[in-house]
Amino acid sequence: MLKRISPVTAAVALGLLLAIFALVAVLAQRGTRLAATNTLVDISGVALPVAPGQQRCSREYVPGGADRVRIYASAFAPRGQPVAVTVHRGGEQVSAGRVPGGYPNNSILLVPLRPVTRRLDPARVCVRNLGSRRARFAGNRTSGGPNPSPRVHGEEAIRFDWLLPGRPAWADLAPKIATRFAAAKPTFVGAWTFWALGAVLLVLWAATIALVVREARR
Amino acid sequence: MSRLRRLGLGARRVPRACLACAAIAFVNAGVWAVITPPFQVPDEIAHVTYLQYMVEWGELPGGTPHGPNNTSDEMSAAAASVPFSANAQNPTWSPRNLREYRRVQPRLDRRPGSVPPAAVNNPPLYYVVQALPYLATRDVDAFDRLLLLRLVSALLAAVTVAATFLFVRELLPGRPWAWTVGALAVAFQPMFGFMSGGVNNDNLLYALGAVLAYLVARIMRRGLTPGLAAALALVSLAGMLTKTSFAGLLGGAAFGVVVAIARMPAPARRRAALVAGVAAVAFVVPFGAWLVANQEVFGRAASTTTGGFVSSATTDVTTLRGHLSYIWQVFLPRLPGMQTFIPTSGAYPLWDTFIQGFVGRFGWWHFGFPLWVNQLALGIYVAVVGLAGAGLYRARAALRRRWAELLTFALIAAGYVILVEVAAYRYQAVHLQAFEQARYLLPLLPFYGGLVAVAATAGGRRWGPALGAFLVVLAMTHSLFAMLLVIGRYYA
Repeated sequence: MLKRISPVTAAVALGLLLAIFALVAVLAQRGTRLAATNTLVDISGVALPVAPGQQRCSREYVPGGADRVRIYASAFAPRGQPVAVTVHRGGEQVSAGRVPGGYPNNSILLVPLRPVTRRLDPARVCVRNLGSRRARFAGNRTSGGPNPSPRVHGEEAIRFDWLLPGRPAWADLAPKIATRFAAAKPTFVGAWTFWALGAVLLVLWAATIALVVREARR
Repeated sequence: MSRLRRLGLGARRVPRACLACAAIAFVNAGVWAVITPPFQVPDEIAHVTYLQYMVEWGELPGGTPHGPNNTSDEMSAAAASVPFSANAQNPTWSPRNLREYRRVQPRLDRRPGSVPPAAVNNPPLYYVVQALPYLATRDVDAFDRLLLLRLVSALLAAVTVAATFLFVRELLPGRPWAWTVGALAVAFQPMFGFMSGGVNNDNLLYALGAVLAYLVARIMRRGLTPGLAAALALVSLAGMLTKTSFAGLLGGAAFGVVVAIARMPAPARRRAALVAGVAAVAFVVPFGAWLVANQEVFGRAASTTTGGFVSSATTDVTTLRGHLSYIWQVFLPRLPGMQTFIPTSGAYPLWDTFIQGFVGRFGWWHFGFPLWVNQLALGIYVAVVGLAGAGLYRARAALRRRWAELLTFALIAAGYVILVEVAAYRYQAVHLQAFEQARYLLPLLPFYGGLVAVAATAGGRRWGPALGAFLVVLAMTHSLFAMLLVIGRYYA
């Protein structure tokens, strides 16, 4: 049986095995996944101050299903201040969460929230400094880091990364990705397009392999 | 068809495998066109605006602007509804902005006041090619229109891959299986796929660069015929009317033609020299006419023919020594006493820009694979180069006969790279930032395809096809993970 396998078939099979192994490894990777974010920059180049007992609010898109919000804090003091995040819609508080103080300077804070069941667009989101010293939070429009890009027009707000519950694998996220895929696309594109493209790629791979194997016999 | 054969164009019958490779490239680039969000291909909105300006005003941009806005109201609104910034962030995936855009779109003005600097200096050929699909979809949703324009770029990817196939056929005439390997390595190159799924005049540049490489290879193998000379003149003219950086390919191509003529027997040589002279005139006269018309007829600024690189603002801050020093530092470590440049200071452009960029850097040059993937890819590239060396060694008898071809291809590549780096040096001298991106080197893709094909021949007659098949599957896997990277960045 093995004698019948040509070197080309074996090479293709080996390549496909490696590809499938890598694909499964990547799709099974679990991690923190975004439900949405308001940031327009990769690395923030500005920190917005919030005085003790005060809050800073902005109009935000709050996705349905998020159970944590990630904010980026820096402290004027050696230790960070306690912080509360609230989400309001039409004057009514729909979600809230807080983190205790004492975190190191330049910390990423994961603020647990009462899950927001439906998308809120817009909502009023506030960060309140519950401590006795000033706190600062990364903004969303001015880039920093080694290669800053021009500031994005508009009012700087605190950066909010809304996170999905748990640590989903990429494969778990696929239906959500399919829905998001239709954002700002041609009129005919919907969630189905994502799956259709997957099918097109499968056919393309099959056709390519068939071509390579056929030509190898020449 | 038989007339084409008499002219030496080899159009007797394009191999079915060539057409299959081209179709694969088209579909792959088409998938990229749907995956990549609108305006997330470098400078895409600038190129769409050039096209829109040309069609809506009926004139070329670069003269007196019609207004202060360098995008139309329609394109500004469309871009604002895309939930990603140039930094590829802000994914709210909220449909609100898109709904708002679609509500007002029919009333929005499609005439831009001017064209962004990233595209305004370009010659018009790519935009002329795109004018028909634009006109056919003028009144539809801007994103529907954009997809059609992107698919035209995908068709150009098919041309690039077909030309690569034919180039490799000239390079390795006795190894038909290797033609497919070289062409498919190009078809699945991720940066090429990504660019081919966007609106950018680089796509026509890649196609014409690949056709030029094929024509030169054919001329060197079979001698200069009137048909090949005419095709070379036409492609050279089209290239120069697409992007002036095409000039970097022409020196090496001219060298190849001269060598091909010199190798011909005496009676044919005189005739071939005459044919080459006529072809040169057929290229130079229309191109000269275009340069004059560009300013005198179309009223475009002088900078549109030179990209502003010969203005006093540039020449005052550049030197010959600076050029040489900069080009050295792009590829080799800085030597004591050499000038320091911002793009090369603390960076190694050959690795940071060209190699990592070739592995894949997407969006507005903002994200790519993790470092370990780039290092792994470098290992594979080194292995491919090593195999190509072994392949050449195996074919050393043929190489002794065909060294002039190899030298010609090296000169074409070197001429192009030097031109890009001269532009980069002059750009950084004025703007104090880097200019280079890996995509600028993609007109050299046929040589990449040739390299992969030659690498596969290192396996000899028994193992060569298997090695080639493995390299193709690797290229497909690379392309797939690049698509997943882009999907992950924008939609996950």
